Amino acid sequence: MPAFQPTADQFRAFRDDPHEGAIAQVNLLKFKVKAEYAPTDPEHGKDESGGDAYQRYVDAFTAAAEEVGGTCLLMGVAERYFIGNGDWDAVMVMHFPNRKAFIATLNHENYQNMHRHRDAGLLCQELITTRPIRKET
Amino acid sequence: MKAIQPTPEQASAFMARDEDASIVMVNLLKFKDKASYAEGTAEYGEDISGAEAYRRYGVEVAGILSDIGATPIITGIQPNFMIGDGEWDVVALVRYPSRAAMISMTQSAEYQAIHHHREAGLAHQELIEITELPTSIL
Repeated sequence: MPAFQPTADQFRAFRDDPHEGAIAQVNLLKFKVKAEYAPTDPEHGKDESGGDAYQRYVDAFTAAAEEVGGTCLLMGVAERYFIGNGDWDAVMVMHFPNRKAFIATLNHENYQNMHRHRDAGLLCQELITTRPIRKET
Repeated sequence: MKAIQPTPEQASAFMARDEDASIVMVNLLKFKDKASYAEGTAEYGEDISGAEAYRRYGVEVAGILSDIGATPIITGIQPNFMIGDGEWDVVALVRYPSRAAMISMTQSAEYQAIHHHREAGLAHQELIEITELPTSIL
């Protein structure tokens, strides 16, 4: 079941998980057809896709994540379902050395500024926190 | 919706595309509680978990992937849904040098020989073909 934000319980469960190791954040993404910036945003009224708006968020979020050792392992568009079927437009996977680094990225000084691109472009998503058992990049 | 194999339409749509570009396949996997090997397989009747049967497939397929130039990007276990909710047990990402490489892998005798572990362990999955974007498309 997709959503837009973590619930308070989901955020607490993430924050309070005693696991100290690396995490891979798997984002399954569905974009708005057209970006919807708020009237106060400089991009308001631009004729572009939700995916274009969200890409700005990806770029800014990745830059912020890299300051604390995060890396973007995958950002790409879903061409098709080869098995099963679903509705995701894109998949983004980010690797963090630990969950504190992810929270630090959310608390980055630029986060409030970059967040409007996510709000403008994203319809809904799932975010699956996993523990990586193999990384060969 | 729940599937373990492509439909004929999915397979032909996949094969019809440009076969030379690299792709990433995102595997969202759900295992059976108990493995169910088919009658006639050497493992028939073994009392192991679906995850364990699939792990056997994973170990073997890693070698085959390496042979064709495919690279595992990451395998993520012990999932927790931080946004939304779902039921996947494992997320696995593999980069293939081309569609053609993936197709020929699945048709190889080597792959066919290990496939029964996948069938024994997997309840269902989604497999999403991803075209990677450059760091910024702007």
